[in-house]
Amino acid sequence: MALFVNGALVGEDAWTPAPADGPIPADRPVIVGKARFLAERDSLASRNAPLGLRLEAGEDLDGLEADIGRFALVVVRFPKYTDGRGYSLARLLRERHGFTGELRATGDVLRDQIPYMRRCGFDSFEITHEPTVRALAEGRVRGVSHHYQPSAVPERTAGLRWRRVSAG
Amino acid sequence: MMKKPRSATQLVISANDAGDGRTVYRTADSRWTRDIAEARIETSQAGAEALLAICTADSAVRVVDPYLVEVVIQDGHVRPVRYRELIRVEGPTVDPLTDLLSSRDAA
Amino acid sequence: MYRYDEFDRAFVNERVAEFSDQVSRRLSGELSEDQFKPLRLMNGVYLQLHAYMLRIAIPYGTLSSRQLRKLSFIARTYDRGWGHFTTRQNLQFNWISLKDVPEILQHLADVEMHAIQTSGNCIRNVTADHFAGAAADEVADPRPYAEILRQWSSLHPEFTFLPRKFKLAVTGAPNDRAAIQVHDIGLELKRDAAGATGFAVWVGGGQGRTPMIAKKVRDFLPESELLAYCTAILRVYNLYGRRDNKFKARIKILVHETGIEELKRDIEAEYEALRAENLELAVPAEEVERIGRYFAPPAFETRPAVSTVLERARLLDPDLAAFVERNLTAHKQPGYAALTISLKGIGLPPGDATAEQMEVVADLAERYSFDEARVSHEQNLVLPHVRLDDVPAVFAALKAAGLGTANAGLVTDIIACPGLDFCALANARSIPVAQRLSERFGSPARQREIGDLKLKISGCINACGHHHVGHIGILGVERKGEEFYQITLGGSADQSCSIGEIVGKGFSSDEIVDAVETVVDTYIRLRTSPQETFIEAFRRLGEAPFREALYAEAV
Repeated sequence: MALFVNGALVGEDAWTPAPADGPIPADRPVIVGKARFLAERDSLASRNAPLGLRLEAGEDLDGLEADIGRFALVVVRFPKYTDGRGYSLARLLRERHGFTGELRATGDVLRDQIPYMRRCGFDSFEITHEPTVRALAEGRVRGVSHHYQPSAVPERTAGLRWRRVSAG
Repeated sequence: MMKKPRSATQLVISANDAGDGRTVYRTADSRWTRDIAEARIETSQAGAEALLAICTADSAVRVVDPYLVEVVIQDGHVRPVRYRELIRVEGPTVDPLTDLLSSRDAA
Repeated sequence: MYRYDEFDRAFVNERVAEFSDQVSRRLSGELSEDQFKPLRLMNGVYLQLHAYMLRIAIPYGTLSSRQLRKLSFIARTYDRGWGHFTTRQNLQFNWISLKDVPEILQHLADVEMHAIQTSGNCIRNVTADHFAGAAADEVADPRPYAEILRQWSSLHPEFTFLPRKFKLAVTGAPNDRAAIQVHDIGLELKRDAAGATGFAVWVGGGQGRTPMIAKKVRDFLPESELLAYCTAILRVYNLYGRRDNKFKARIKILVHETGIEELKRDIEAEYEALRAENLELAVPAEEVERIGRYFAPPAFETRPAVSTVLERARLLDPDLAAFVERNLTAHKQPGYAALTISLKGIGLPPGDATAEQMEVVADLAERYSFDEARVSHEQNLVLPHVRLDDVPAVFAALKAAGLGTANAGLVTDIIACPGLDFCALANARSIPVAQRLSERFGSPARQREIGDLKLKISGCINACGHHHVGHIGILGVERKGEEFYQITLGGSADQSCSIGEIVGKGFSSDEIVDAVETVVDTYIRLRTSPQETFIEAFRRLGEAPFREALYAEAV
């Protein structure tokens, strides 16, 4: 399993998932699921360490709107690469809720979907597919660089209204 | 030689060639052929499924979606039972090009 | 028609390069078929019974002669010399090798064509009225908006992995020739009382396993709101469409299960939020105008409404007279007509054309129709702007090429999917049934006697032959290893959209042609006059007399 953040391979993940049983550690970056966060929202407010949110496929942002700014990390899981719900979640996080932290895709994350994920605002990828890891490490993951619609990330405009150009 | 009962299972493995999409069949010597006459015929469900598992594993690059096709031997020819599979062997029952060209010539 | 600029060319060339790389990685084994499949579907590459099939996009059914000639070249060079025009205005080649696809896509890119998103769980070809820009009843040409939607939906990063495919259609006339009510989003271009341009918006139509007529969600959406509103619909669908069951994943099911009122509230809420945060989705009038210039009317000549040349020629040539009666459609410009080229020769596979015939149509389009041809969802071709004076010459050329059948809208103008002869999804063959039906009703007198009748045939429940909206629909199924055919009656794809009703138990391959003839004879027997069309008579009489005629015990 490899973790890429902002295009670079990260040796060790700073984040750990909250334990299934037992309290959420107060002193280090921890990722918590939506249900648990909502249940323990108030007690988590007093933590000093960064807090991350993990969203499973099919979970939406209802009930979390006021708290998005509290997360330094949001992890969105793709159970299968064909499940495209995470793309909308990412755009809502970035564009509707102004989320500026690390937005991480996990699960069935493959090379050919990464350019779309990037355009939706993901800047971090947890990869298990070996050829994708190699391609990312070698900088070979590029989609098309000309786009017909604005995205969640800044891209150079290209003359006409909705056209954008990216690094690819 | 013992006579096989009429209802004996006879199965071949078919797939589509990954490069050109053509219908192919698994031979006894682990090739994929367009000619169903060269197909390896398995005479038990278990044997066929075992062969299918091997094919699926070793042919992922060469062919797409291998599966089992029931066949009968008629007049010495291997023939699929299901109509859809017969069309895969023999090709479409219509030939639009021939039809269109002959109608143009008649015009 | 739309012309690519440097940006468009760069986009499509990048896409070709990207897919070429994906093909290599598939053939080398780096990508499994499972990983490759959605990628190839995004480029219109299906795997069918006998070979790969390539579905080439023809945006809103519009083609230039240059493009037609390239399609002819591809048919000759990479396929078997013919192609099939589809019910979504696209073109299919049935004998393609995967290894050739990158090269084919480059040829297409050279003439501003592609196969992007003609398959897969993404936004598909945006279809439109095949008489756009020509029809006398048109409020406005829908194609600028179809082009805006096409661009916006191309490799949209958020909507590339939808629960299922998503189809849009646009009509610019109150007579709906684009079948918008059986699309996931249907748009009717209209003007409000103040003369402003906007759309009536329908959501949740579709055919297939569970045919449904779309529900109207907006009476009038101002044109500037088109992309924001469609984004809202797509986002709600992407987030909440079912992912657990492929057969229940279209937006029509979401409409059905959630209820249109609640879904409409979700869409409107998302739309309001999008508008507030993303002004970039607004479609300004200047942009509509800029794109609209590509679709400006050609330099029509001022001509009298009646052509003495044509009138004289008609009197002398009964074949021409028949052709004029059926295959010309009233044009907004006096002295012109939209001319339908039937790809339904009697006894021939519906919707197919040879490479040579494509060249003939290209030449005619270039010479007689301002270099423009169209593909209709009824699998015919159209020359949209033909001078009435030129119709005799055009007809003569068509006839010589086997393209002069005077049967537009008649019973032999059959719509049929490729069926079990070609398609991996099919349960039964459709083309031979179409051919036999065409022959049974082939006599010109018989066809004229029957009048307007839309007969549509699908080889499986996916309904690519649009049988649900045929006046007479035929669905091929497999029963006990045999091909079997169910008849539906009373479907219609126009503004009075209706889904056909199954009339009773199905018919064998041997029986189906007689059964259809029984239905037709029943209509002729019971109609109030020859002016009452089949669909009018059916709506008046209901199913009962037809069911009785088909299934009553033989005396």
